[in-house]
Amino acid sequence: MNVQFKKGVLDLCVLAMLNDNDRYGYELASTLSEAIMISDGTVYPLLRKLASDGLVASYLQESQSGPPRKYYSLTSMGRIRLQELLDDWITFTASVNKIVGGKSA
Amino acid sequence: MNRKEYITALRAQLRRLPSDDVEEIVKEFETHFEMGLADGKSESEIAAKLGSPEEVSQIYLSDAIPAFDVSGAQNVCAPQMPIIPVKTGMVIDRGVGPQTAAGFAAGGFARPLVNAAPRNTAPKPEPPSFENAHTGAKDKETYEEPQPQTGKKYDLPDYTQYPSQDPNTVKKAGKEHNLLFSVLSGGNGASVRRTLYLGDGNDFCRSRYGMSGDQSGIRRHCYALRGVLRCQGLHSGYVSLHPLHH
Repeated sequence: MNVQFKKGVLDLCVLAMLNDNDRYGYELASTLSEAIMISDGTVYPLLRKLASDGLVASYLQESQSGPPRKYYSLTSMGRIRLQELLDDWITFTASVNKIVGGKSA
Repeated sequence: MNRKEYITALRAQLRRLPSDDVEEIVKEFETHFEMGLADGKSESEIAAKLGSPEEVSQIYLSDAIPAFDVSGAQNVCAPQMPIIPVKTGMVIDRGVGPQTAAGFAAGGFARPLVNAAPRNTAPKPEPPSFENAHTGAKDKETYEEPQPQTGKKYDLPDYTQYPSQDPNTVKKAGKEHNLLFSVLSGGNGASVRRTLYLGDGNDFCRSRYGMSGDQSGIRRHCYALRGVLRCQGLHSGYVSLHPLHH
């Protein structure tokens, strides 16, 4: 899959994952790298950017095994952004499906 | 590449960033290695999956905004943007002229008029309890996130009114605060993309983008109630700062 294309949906994926549950960086990185074949390392700068934009917040929590985990959670500004991105995504995929001949569209 | 080599290379690549930021980033990657090891992966496997330190650091560097001068003398990284010392309750009044690229170039933003008019001349409210703003006891931040304040204006508490809460006091007390900054902007700059930055030279926060209307952002873990706001596309407005309660 095209790199630029993936980058575009990465924000959406991270915000969507955080909408279900607070998650720690490693968890987000491994899940996303497996699902959309990006490098694990690209998730961390993205999280940092989302945090500086006020879309996610973070907190540390001790874990039973290993180092304390830095959890990320969605802020309400993040939830608004997620909704915007989701709307864009749905509109976009519907339009593309129409063109490429998806019968469902 | 093993863990040590990876971290060393990452650190070297990030050296342009403020050292606090570098440490935070490095810590995140150290943790990633530790968790990967606990998952039974080898250091070189983990490093390979992370992507090269160059690739990763490039993303951090391109997201970063160069540090800027609190004294407000020069904004070297973006000369077209005025630097306005932030003070709660400050009104940025008709700071600018033309809102076009040519206008920027012609120095339309060169002399922002800043009226440090007090926001609220009504009797002062009771000083808000800054002491309880951050207990430090909770390991999870819970706070009410601000909603965009459309139509509802100027009702934020003015923390700089209270001498006991001046930046030095806050800093000495070693307390961290998350500050919300918001700009309620007026005027017509409908076609101008507004981005606001607030920072103290080492750290900054960027607001949400918007075409017009009110802007707000959150700056986390601030020690001092001061900063510099850089505005693009803003020609009148109102700046406020206040801590988010935990």
